[in-house]
Amino acid sequence: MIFKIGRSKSPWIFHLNTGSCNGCDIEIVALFASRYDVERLGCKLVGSPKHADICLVTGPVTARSKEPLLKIYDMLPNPKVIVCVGACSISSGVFTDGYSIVGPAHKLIPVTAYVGGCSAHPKNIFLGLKKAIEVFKEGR
Amino acid sequence: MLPLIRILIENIFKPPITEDISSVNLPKHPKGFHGHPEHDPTRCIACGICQYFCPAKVIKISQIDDKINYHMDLDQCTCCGQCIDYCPTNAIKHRPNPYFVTTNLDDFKVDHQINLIKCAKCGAFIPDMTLIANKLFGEGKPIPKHLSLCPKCKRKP
Ligand code: SF4
Ligand code: SF4
Repeated sequence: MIFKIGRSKSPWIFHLNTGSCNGCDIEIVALFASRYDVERLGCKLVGSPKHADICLVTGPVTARSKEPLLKIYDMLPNPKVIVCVGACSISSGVFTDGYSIVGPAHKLIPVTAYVGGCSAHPKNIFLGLKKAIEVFKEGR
Repeated sequence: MLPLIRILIENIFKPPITEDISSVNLPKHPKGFHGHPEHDPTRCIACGICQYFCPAKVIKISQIDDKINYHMDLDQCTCCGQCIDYCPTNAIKHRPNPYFVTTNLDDFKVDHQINLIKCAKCGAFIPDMTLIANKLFGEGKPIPKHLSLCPKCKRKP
């Protein structure tokens, strides 16, 4: 009960790059910077998946980053909430059928919310986070 | 020790220092922002120029009997705006609310049916060229005969 309230009020966020071009990563950092500033809402970027409530995945999942992705997915505490950010992580985007691509992420792990765009706008990433927070409120 | 206990008890009854996530409003998208494209099937003439210029192979146009099926996989779209720039009839526009945010992947799929008209001579199905004719010759002017013929009939004398 306390966990549920705490998570829906101040979700901690882990950011995972699975081979993206850094565009979406910069937008995620912009979300935490002064203009959009979600730290005032209690969201916090953390360095370890074991501390995180929400995992933001960017990138089309290259063959090299498949194993880290699955490992980090195991490390996340329950309920595991994944938000795919950007066209690449939703469908591999322009890298579809590339020789080094094993993704997209929803083929490998269950995904809660999708944020479209290339690269995704910070405001839309925030809307995606909101959808993820609804999952905590419902208590999946 | 006592002040510490006082602060702890005070903190239990204080409201949180953070703002509420569900009621907060973030700054708006800037004007002229490149969002996902939005296709208008009533203006489209199924010329295929957008399919040719799209770098991400988002757009797939195919003919099913008397209709054209216009399919978009917007989950792959890079929002570059090439289709918008090159469309001759301005059938594609940027979305007013730029990007999709969903929990369901099917929301990214767009399927539109474009109606075709019959060739004046042989009755084969061809796209309606009225919008192009209006653009070339001005609104309300008569549409030239060759625009209402299928490619085969055009070549015949
Ligand atoms: S370029 Fe415009 S008119 Fe031509 S097929 Fe695409 S949307 Fe339709
Ligand atoms: S915006 Fe670019 S990627 Fe998206 S459909 Fe148009 S041409 Fe293709």
